[in-house]
Amino acid sequence: MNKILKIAGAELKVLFYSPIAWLVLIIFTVHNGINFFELISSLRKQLLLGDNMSMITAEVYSGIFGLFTKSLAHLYLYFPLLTMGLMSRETSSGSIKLLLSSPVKTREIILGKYLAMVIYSFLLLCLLLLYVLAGNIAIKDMDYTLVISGLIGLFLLMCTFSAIGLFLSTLTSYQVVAAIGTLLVLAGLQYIGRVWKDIDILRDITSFLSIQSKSNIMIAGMLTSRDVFYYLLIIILFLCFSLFRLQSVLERKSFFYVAGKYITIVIVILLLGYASARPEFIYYKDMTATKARTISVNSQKIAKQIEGDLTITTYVNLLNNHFSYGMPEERNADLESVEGFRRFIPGLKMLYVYYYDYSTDPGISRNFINGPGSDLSKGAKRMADSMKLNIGNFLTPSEIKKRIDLSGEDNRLIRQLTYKGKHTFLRFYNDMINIPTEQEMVNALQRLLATPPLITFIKANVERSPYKLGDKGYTTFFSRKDYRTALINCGFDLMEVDLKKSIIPEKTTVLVLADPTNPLSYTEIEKIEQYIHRGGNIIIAGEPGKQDLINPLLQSLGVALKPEMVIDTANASPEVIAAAFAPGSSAIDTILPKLAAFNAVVSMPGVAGLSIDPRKGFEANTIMNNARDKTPLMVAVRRKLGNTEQRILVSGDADFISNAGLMRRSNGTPFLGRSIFSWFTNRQFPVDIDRPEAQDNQIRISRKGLMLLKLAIGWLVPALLTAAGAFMLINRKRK
Amino acid sequence: MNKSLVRIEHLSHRYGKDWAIQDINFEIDEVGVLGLLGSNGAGKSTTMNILCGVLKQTSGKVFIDGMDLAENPESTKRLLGFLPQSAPLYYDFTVDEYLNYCAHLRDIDKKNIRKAVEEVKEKCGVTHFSKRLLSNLSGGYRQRVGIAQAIIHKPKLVVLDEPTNGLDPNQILEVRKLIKEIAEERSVIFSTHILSEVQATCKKIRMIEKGKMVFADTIEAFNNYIEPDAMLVHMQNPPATDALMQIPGISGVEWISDQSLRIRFKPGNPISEKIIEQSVQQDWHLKELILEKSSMEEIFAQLSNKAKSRNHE
Repeated sequence: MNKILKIAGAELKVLFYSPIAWLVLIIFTVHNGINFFELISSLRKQLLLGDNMSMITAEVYSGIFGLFTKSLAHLYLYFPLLTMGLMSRETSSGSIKLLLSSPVKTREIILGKYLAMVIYSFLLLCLLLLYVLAGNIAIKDMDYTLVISGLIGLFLLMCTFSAIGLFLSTLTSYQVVAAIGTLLVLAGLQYIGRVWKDIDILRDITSFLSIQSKSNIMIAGMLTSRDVFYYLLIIILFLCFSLFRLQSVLERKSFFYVAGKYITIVIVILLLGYASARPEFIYYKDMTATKARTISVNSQKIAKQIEGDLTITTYVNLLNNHFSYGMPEERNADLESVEGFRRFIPGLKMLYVYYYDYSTDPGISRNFINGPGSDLSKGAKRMADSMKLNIGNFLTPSEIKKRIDLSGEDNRLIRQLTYKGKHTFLRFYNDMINIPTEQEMVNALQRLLATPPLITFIKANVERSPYKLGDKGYTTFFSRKDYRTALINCGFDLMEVDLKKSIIPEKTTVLVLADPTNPLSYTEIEKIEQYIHRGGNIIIAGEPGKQDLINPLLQSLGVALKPEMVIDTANASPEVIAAAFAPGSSAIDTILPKLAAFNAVVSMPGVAGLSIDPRKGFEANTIMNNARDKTPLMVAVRRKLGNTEQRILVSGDADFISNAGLMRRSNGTPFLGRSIFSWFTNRQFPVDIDRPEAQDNQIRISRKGLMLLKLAIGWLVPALLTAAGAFMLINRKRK
Repeated sequence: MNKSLVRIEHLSHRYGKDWAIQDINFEIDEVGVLGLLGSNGAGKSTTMNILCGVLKQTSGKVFIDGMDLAENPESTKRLLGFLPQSAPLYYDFTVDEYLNYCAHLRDIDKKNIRKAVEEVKEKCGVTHFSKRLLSNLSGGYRQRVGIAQAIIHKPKLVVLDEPTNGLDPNQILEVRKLIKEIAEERSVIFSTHILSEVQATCKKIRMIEKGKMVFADTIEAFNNYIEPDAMLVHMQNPPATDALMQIPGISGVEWISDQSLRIRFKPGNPISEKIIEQSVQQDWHLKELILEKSSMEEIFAQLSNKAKSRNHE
């Protein structure tokens, strides 16, 4: 060990007795300083302009323009300059003979040289620590553990670059060749993750070799044993290569022996890498304060209930807008999107089925497709050719139909989850994100584990329908499959029932009677009353003037629609009421009353006031009221029935969740709608994935303070480094 | 008789298909200087690199103090100090920094390092340059520092590969003196392609030519081996070739000018007196007579041929 330290010490002296080491330190500090202070300054400005922000630490260090992210992108440029001379200088000057003729083991030489680079890397890390210190001064409640994770990732990457550079330095006695070779290899490893993504086997290899991607994960705050082992194994691999290369000078072995040695170490490292990447062996440590890189606690609970295999089959239609998400070249990103769940579901398997069939959302294939019923094969072939794909890899419409009928899903890009014989769909959406996130995924999993809630709509009297388009329809809120927050994508099943002909299904979680136009028949009323009497959950939504149709059903509850419409003459449109969350709204969700503090309202165009006189056994709570006169506009009525609670919601407005109502974009509507149906499912659906709010949401430094900090760290430190380097180099030259 | 410190057995090495050395065998005494003589590219440096563990031989064995170098690299390397053809210096280090580093590498006890460095600087005459950068030293002093690193740990065997190469005459004399001093306590092997270097410094000599050992004996034996076989003669009135050829022992006559000629004779056959005698008797007017020794190349050629013929026998 003593000799390793001595060799490392000598190497560091050689490094610092030349200008390169100093130059790299200075450029590294200045470069990072510019990035860091520009970002802090810009975030401060955004906050001053009134933007709400959270997780500022992540923004500053691991965001797209973050300090660590930017550093990571440029590190590969510095290391060839530092490592080029490690061995090639010794061989070209002949000083290697001093080492080889001394009682020093070859491994001590390699480890000594490597240790020097590790120490230098640590110095670079210390310079980054200055910016952590600056972050601590500038950011309120900085997320330290996230920063530590990023530093570990960068340090491991630097150590890996050092090992690779050392090996290349052993290959040649020309330092320039070693530097260019190292630069090419590091640049190659930097970009290799972006190539051959469309070829299965090569994608796995390029993904494995993509050194930078692992550091990115660590910088984002997720430390995994897999990634740490990956770096350690790559380091060991290149140190062994360096050792073998040096030994080859001192050994006379056959070509097969030498080749065997290299092949053996590669195989051993690959096997260890494979084993360390097995899901059951991976240890995860989410270093973010809010555990933002891990699925929420509730998602974890649900995921952990999945035992054995969970198969996710993605059906990719070449002729649908979103097909590219399912293509092989996006496979890594696609796998990454379920990575959070894979951690808790070791049996998760991903399958992909490629086909072509008509979709009403054809995307870029629209130019090749004439319409439904037309011959799709030619268009699909042209589409495939234009995308340089082999149409032979895609099932034809008839072939896919034998396997699964996706016409009900408009042949959109879709996943099907299969677990213990149960299936459920997980859709892609027409929004900015497109792909299903943790919320939709956990809803789908919950559907596989629990009985999905059934919302039954009464029809036949021209009620509001979950399948009707138009202003009064409910499609957006309930049944739009391309709409992420539609209840059908939140785990709910929907159905409509004609009570004149049918009974209310046993599995009904909540029955909905929404704004009937025609009077209900005696049979219908009787069935609904019996349902309520049995303890069934129901939503009864009326509109002004519908009291005669609705009130007979409400009589037993002690709630009634008032005949007149609520008017607010202060409004430009007096009939549009901005309904406020009443204190009693906590009966269905504790978050709702808190929304009042943020002036959240629900727009109700044409609403009837409610009178409340609860019957014995029922408890009534006002959920929404008219902010001006507190007239109840929506009431929750509950009663205990054994171990269960009967839940009934009465609303004087049926428009707040209609297609037009949602278009009004009143800020309280999404919360209200979600809370109501979550209440009916005892919070099972949609799964609550909320997590603690991040505390690092302010830049607390003043403009002057920031300037001083910039001067001290961004300029003074590089200046001191320059002075120290110049002093040392000039002083030594005079000796 | 001296006990041998180094034993080299059937040492051969090749670079690619070409043999650099073949079947080299010799021993080195515990004390004294052994010269390894050979022309450029003869295989001297290859032999020395192998001897010091810097290069692995294709075949053969090297024993130092009874230990096989291949099996006990560390133990054996503790016993030797090596100055390669190009001194293994770190030019950005000062003399002190460099020697300190070498002392650590050579396993000198930490508490003795300072003393060892001071001693070796004194011995090699570089004490006054302790704080000087190696890059700022002259060639001669760099070579001295190179020798200093080789002897800092007081090894039993010091291997010097062409230590006087590129030095001026004064520096050469100083280095020779230094080598002799070192050899008073330990065994020194040094290589050169300059014959006078060996004659001035060594007691024993090993000569390598084209990768093969062609001579292995004392310097006296070597000097005898290279006794004169020709003389340059300058006469005002030289005789005809035939007349000269009549003198017993003369094997050939080569005219350089009208009055100068080279007379070849069989080694060990003194003919100087006969020529002087004849010159006086026949009025040849002998002005000058210089004995000529064989050139290095001729010696190498002679020894090679001799070695070949010995092998054929």
